[in-house]
Amino acid sequence: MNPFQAKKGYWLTGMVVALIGVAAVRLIAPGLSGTTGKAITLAGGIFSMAGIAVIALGVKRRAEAEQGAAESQACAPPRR
Amino acid sequence: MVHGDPMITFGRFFLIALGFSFVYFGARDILEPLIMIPMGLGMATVNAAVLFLTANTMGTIFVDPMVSDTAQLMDILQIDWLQPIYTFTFSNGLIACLVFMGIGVITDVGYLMMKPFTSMFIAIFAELGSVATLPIAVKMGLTPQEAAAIAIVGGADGPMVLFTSLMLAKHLFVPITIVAYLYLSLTYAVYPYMIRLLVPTKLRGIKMDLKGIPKITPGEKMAFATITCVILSLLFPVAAPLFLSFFVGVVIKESGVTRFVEFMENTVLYGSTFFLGLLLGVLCEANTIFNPKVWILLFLGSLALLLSGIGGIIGGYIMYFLTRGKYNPAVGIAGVSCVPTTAKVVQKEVRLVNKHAMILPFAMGANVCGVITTAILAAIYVTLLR
Repeated sequence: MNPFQAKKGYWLTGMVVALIGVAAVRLIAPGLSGTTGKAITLAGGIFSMAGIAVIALGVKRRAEAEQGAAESQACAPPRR
Repeated sequence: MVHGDPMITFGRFFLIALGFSFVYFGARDILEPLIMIPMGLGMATVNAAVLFLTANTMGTIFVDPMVSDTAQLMDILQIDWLQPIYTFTFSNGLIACLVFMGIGVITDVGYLMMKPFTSMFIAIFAELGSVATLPIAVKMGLTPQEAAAIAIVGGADGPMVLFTSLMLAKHLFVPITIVAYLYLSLTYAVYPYMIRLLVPTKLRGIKMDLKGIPKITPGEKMAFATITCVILSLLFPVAAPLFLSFFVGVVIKESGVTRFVEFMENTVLYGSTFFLGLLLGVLCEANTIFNPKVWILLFLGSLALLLSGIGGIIGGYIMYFLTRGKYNPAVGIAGVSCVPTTAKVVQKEVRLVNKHAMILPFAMGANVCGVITTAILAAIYVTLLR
């Protein structure tokens, strides 16, 4: 199976979350001044990092599931 | 020599001796040989060559880092043999990008992807020096820009220090870079003792579970690297050249284009590292080095690296407690992003205690994430302070 298809939800969610973070930092925060601007910048940065981490998590889950399936297949009794 | 400043003359003798010791310790593998051997020889030679010049003569017959006037630069380019390399690769950050391409091609982002949150957690703690040194440096009289440029030494990432000092404190670019590379080589020598001091033998020998390590396909790594590069460049455009250099190396490695991989791994990485070491050595002339500000930079650089190492180990201990003793706290120091030196140092130290303990994949994950967090921190400093 295509590894990207298996956990495409993680890829899409990760990209959307990361891009929301980028939009907050580059588009919204420059228009705001003081603490609000800084808070939005910080939140945007965290969102972007979280988005990247979500993608990594999806890949990890896909690989773990594949590994688990391979192990259970190896442990299954042989067919006659 | 007789007419010169005796302090500078003494300094030149001292630097010749120091150059010899760098070559010796590099050859003995006590300091990083790839940087230290060309740097030591360059340092000894340049100070010998200018020994009889007056103390206030700036520039050497090798390179003049202080020249800024265009006409003067055109003259110097035809006289000083290393000037073209300095002008066209150092002062525009190209050498930092070339080293980063080489680092990218030897980096496996799969290690980061298999433990994303743990790696990120450790890497953030290992930036303690880069964050805490900034206010200390300001208190010691440096401007915020100069302070940020020296604080980033705590990330233990040479190209990043080159980049930040060029962006924020160009007048201190030479001494900061020298201090940075000097200390990066010292991580090789000092961090093992720090691990032994801060992590008891019993904990250093903890074996980590390698069974659960998932297999990530090259396609996934390429897609992840491409997305991360674009997201980081959107967030921090000032550091986009470094992000591109690093991730192009990662993508080339995973693409399996062997000719490009060999070219970047050998020619680009080792070629740029050699010229980096040689030029840094040649820049270590007494006139440049014996500046009162350099002593402050020497202190702050060592402090930044020390704090980052301690921060990384604190992160390692937190993970140790969170996983109820399954995480080896020594891995924390690998969050200091000197790829792959700190990861290799940790593995070596752990092996000394427990021959069967294999922690390298976890250490590399923290190490790779350390590169990214240092780049982010450098970009934040440049964005806020430029």
